[in-house]
Amino acid sequence: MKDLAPIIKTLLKAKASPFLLILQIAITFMVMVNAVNMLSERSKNMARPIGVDETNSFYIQTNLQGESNALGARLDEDLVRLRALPSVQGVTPMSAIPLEAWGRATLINKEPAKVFEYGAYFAVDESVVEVLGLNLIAGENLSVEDVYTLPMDGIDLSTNILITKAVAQSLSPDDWQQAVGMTVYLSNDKPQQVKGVVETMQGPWPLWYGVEFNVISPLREAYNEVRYFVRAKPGLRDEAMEQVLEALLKTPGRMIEKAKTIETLKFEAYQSDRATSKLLIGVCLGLLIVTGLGIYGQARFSVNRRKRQIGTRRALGASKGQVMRFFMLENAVVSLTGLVIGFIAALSLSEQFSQHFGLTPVPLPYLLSGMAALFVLGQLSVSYPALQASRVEPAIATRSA
Amino acid sequence: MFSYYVKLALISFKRTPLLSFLMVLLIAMGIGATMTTFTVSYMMSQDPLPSKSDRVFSVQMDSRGDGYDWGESSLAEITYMDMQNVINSGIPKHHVVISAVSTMLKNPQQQTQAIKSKVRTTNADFFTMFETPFLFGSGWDEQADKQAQQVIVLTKKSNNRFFNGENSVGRFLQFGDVLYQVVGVLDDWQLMPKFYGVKTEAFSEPHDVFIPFNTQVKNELMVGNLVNNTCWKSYEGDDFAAFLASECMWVVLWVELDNDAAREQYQAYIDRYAQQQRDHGRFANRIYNRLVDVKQYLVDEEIVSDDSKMAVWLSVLFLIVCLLNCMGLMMAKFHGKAGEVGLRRAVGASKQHIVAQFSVELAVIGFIGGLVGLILAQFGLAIAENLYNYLHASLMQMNLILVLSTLLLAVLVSCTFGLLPIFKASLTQPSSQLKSL
Repeated sequence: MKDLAPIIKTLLKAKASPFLLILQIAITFMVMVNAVNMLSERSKNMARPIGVDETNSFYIQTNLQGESNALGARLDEDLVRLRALPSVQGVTPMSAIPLEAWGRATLINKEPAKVFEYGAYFAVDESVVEVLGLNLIAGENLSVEDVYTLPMDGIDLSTNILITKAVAQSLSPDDWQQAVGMTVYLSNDKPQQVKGVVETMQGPWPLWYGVEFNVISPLREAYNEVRYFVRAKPGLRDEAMEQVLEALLKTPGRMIEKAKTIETLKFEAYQSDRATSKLLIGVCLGLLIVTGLGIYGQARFSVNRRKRQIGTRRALGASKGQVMRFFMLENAVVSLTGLVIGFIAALSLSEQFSQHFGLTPVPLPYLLSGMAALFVLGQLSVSYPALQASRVEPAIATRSA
Repeated sequence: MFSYYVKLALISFKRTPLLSFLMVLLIAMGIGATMTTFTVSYMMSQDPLPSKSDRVFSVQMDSRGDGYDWGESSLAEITYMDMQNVINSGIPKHHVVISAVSTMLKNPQQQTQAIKSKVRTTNADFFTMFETPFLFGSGWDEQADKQAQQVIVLTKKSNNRFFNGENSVGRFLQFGDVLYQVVGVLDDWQLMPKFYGVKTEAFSEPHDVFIPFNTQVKNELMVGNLVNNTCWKSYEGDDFAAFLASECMWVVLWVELDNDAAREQYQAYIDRYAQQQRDHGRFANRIYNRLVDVKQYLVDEEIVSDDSKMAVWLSVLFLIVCLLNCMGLMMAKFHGKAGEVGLRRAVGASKQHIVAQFSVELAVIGFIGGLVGLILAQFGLAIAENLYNYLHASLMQMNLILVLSTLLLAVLVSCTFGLLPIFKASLTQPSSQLKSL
């Protein structure tokens, strides 16, 4: 440690080159921790449970044909036919599918005509909890008596509804279980009774803040466009999809608009996040390589320049280890200075990002582990030039330049 | 003098090949990354209609009466009734009505499966206002709009699919179970961003075919999930006529207004219209009519994603790190040339000469770095095309301006970051270096 004073002295004297390195380390650190923070936020988003059985389910968007008052019967025919298939565990008609990026937004209010909360509206039948694999955590499940069949936009009826836990918590912040039995108003200001609460079911728009705010209403919308959410018996998803399509196509004039597994749907819903994640990883790797090379290059350059000086020290009795330590310590001083500046810069960038892009600020453990990682990178990059320095022969001091 | 300095620079490269190579590589990496992300962001935020983007407006009339305070926000869609009521004002040069449906299409003469296709429903002005290029035929005329004829315009791609690229004008396409006659085939055409429809499709290709909006209405083709539909008020009946008469907001209307006077006149016209409606009990929330020009519309709808802006900032920071690194190498390089500087100074070169010589050297390095960076950026864009395969590929192509600015940027930044090393080198005292010679 007695080397510290001369190191700081030389650094202060050299000014430009160590300053460049400090700046470089600071920027690298600032960008890296923020990028890692964004990456983890995105992967957390992608890892959120949809709330439904992801591996065994798929959905079909298709048409019902005929006069509007006959569509309810058509819907029944389809459901009976599909539920009878051996590979199918359950089917429910749905007005929208989680993560499909298309659906109906609704207001969720405690009193009429007052904006309280936004969410998404799902019209389904009584089998929804069972078919989707939702987890009912309070109140009661929907029953056949709750269900209405309407041509379209059943949102205009007063019904018994299910809500997600997120909605329950927002309706009754002190004790979310109190939400059961509450009367809420949706966009049409018709009173709805909360019959039960499900743990999670994501809405249609994964990037929307209201993705967890969903209302499930027992309304079979027999309209010329319908969606069937199908849960296959475990492991039989692809088989079930084939059988379902085949069964549906027996009806003449049938149009299959979409047939997608929930896994595919989820994959597509996050494609832009995945692209950005890859880009962030690329930037981080690039930065690490360039900074590592920079430290290495600077160290080599300074070793070369100070060959005579090193030789003299060796001649005066410094051991190889002492010379090596000198360069390692020099790098440690530079790195730490850079990291401290970077720490402050990273916090302010994180502040900017959270203001402009609505990201969460970088947590402290990230900052600390980022510092540790860059410090180690610096020491690794400098180790080879330092080793070379330690191999400088003492005899060099006696030779003229 | 300049060519002499270039020669000196090249000699200097030969003397320190590794150092020079590293400098070029660093500049190239930084420039390559920056230009990759910048190209995507730049192409996304292009003006889609450079000749008239300030004269084309989205007509937004907030007809809601649900009692809520919607603040600044308004919807890009209006009701069918309002659209019908305002399009005969005669004030705008063009009206373009936008909606969409999906259907199964096939060539009736072929024994092939019908293909599910996206259909843009619009009117004759669409082709004139957007100045679409035609490969064969043309758009339909106003007569076709009025009579709601079953006519259809194909994109080049769908013409290739259904008619093998032949001139299909006059032939028929099976649309669901009815036949539509082809009147025109578009040539390659892409507005970027494709602002006129829904925001989620701003960077994808145009819909496969185009039919008159009135034909959609006459044939009762219900809008599906290709358009935004806000039904804030329930309506009686469940047939198509009830839907048309409802307060559902689902029609997008664009107008072209020649000048400010026309704009004011039109604004006054729709305000007057809204007031009349309000007197009859509609527009109960407020009168909030907006004419939003294309550029503002792109901002309002947040067409350019935050991610792409953020990517540019990240890569600029990456460039700075590369350049700082490069600056260290420049210091090393010039330090090694102190002897040469001393000699040149001793035989009469002024400080300015030294500065000029090294600036040229850095400019040459920057230029080569820019060239290599350009190649790296092409690789980067190829990767981006793969990464963003859900966006239109033309976003990942540099135009001439971008290519030139890449080179200019490379030269500029290498000289800027070279200022300090050059200044330090120019301070070399001739005597100090000559002593040891």
